[in-house]
Amino acid sequence: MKFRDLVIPSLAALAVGAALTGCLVDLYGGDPQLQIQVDSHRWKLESEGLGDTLSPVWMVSFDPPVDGGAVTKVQNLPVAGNLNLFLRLSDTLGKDTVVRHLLDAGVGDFLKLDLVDDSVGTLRIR
Amino acid sequence: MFWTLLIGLAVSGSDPTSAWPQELEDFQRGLHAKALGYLDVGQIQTMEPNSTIGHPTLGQLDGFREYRRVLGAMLGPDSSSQVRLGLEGGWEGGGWTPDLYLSTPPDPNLFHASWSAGLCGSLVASKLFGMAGLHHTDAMDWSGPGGNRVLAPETDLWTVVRWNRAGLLAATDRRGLCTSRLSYLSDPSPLSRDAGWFFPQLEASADWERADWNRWNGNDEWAGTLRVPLLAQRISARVEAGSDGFRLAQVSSDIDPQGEVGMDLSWSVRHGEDLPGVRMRIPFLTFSVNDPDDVDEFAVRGSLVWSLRFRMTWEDSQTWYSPGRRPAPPGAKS
Repeated sequence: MKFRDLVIPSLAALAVGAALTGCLVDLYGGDPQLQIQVDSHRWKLESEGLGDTLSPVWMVSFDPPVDGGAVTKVQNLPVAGNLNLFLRLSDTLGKDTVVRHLLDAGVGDFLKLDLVDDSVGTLRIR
Repeated sequence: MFWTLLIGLAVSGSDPTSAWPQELEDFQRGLHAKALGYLDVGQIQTMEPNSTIGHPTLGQLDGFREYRRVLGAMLGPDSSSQVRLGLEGGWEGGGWTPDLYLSTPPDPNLFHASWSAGLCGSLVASKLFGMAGLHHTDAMDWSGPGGNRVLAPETDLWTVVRWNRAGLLAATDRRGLCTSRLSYLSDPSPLSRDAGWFFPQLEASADWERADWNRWNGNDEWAGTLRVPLLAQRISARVEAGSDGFRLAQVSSDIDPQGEVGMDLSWSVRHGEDLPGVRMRIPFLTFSVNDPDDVDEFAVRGSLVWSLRFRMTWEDSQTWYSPGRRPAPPGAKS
């Protein structure tokens, strides 16, 4: 088999590969999405992110912070999996805190988290 | 049906990226005194999400593995010259990617790159070919809740020699010898003209691999490989075993004498795990599950892998073939 004999089958193979890859991209399902509702009257949501808080791989800051009763915009997460989510919050006295949460975000999932105060005033994520 | 079979063969697992040792073997198998050059260009990717990929700060990721390679060796273009000199150069990169869009990952630490550069030359009359160079893998470092992790950069010197049917491969770094390989790869002359079903390309090799270069079990090991043609150039068998025991058995079928189009069936044992494998090869495209070569090169186990790949040794503008093959001599049965 000489090089020129391979041109047409090779182009056909490329077309098949491209079509197959395109189909798989359609099956992929897209990035997971996240929305957070703040139901705490004490805490405001300053930012959300993935990874290390000092050098996050992905982070969204809210300006102004998301108050109690409000929800964030739906955010497309850059990755799927069991992710280390962190939330940076500030209270009414201006004190900051960081809350970590293991987020099970599958490909194509839509996830909604609620931030609530429990009966003793501790922040909980549901 | 076929895709069901492929997916049914899949078991989960992944290995550290380890493409360079396999590429050195391909150099040694593919290049010889009459060769004018060698080219390996590819995009290799898993087709199923794999949740076994751990990230030090992000968590356990659902995603895909991918690998990219551009690597070539080119000797002087005068095919009538008895002394040829040339250059080798290559870049490889790969790791984890979040989707099938041929994208790069959001965290650059998930993409690991390396490069190589070398010189090569051949004495055609003496059937001697040699190549030597440098290979460097970039450092990786990141910080996370568990502390800082650093993967140090690595640099190794490597050499490949082929004289007549004998070959030598060696690589060394600051800690000493990384790997060495003595091989015998016959030229495509029949062992017996009368036995047309038993020729050509008998291939045997003995290897030593240091633990960090051993793709099979991570220990210092000796290994041996035997490749035997069973039916002219169309079907061949390959068996590999190490001081750790059986590693793989493979039957390859080729539609073309260049070894570019065909199907391979294999059974391998890696890290103590039985892996039945299959690989389909057509020009530019390959699909496989647990193929031992793909696992060696691209560290992808238990997942359907596709590659858009062009890999060849060529002797002139009309003569090219996959590494380890040679065109049969005129008049040979095939």
